[in-house]
Amino acid sequence: MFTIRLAGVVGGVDNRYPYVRRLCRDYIVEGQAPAFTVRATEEDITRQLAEVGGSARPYGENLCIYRAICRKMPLYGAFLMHAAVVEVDGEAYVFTAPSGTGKSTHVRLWLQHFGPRARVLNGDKPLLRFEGDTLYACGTPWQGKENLGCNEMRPVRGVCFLEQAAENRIRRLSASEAGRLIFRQVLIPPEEDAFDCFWSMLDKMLATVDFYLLQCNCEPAASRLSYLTMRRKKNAEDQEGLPAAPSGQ
Amino acid sequence: MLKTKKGFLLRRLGNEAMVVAIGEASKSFNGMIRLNDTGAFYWKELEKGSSEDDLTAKTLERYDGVDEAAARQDVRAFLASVAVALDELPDA
Repeated sequence: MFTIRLAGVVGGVDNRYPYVRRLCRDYIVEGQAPAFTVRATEEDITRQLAEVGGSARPYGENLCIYRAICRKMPLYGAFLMHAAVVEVDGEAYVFTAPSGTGKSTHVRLWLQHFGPRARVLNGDKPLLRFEGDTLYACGTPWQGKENLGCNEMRPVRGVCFLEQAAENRIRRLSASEAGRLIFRQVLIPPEEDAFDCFWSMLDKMLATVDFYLLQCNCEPAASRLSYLTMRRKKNAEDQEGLPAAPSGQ
Repeated sequence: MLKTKKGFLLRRLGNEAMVVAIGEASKSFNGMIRLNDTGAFYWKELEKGSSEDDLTAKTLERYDGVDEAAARQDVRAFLASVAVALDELPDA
């Protein structure tokens, strides 16, 4: 049994195998009362392993544990998104797509391009949460095959859906288009109370966050295009933030 | 009588209405069904329990100048589009 803090929420993990505790080591907190506690039964683990086609029970347990955590999280203001998140100059850029599309590859282009200005916040399964009207991406111990990530939270500058293509192209998505695509990339809580909390966050996210569709190859130009496009919006906002000219009264 | 199945929820996302499956229901249906305003109206009736005849009558009440055949055709098309989310119950 141990306690971790994810996306600002303290949760207990009643584990059977040591693997999940080791995985969570950067997130363990002491002396704080957990908002909830999760555990996986041997049957849960067997079912999970059948689903992913594995046999290592400690690994199966860790997947069950995170799923159980993510089903609770909406009640405490956070939810899971299947995505790779890269941080540049303190802001989070979220890339999402079905597994195998090239999220990690695209993020690697960003790391190469920006060097020390960039790092991976989470390579696979970050949590998202609102603080006021700002959406934050939060690191978690579940960060993908390459195990890239850190225990930090950063404001989200934009969310980009990825598709493979021969030529690089990017465009803004309407909230309705983004809503259609985001469904497959989030975990829908099975309980109605958690679902309603999740749904209101999703609705707020679609109304307040900028979404893009990036069709891209693996050339460095792809990362320039995605960065400049997601960034340009910010530059325009900064301009708007200048004091307005006197109205001539 | 037709009634919506447990676990299928009508919700709004932005200005769009849709039905989402949660829990057990999501095992048989993974995703969402988008509804227009009429569809959302039908759905709310089906949450209470309704039938093709009921919905056709309600459509005629709600919209002037619609003939019964057209209304029934609309209702049938709608019921087919949400069939996965409906239970057929014996009439009381």
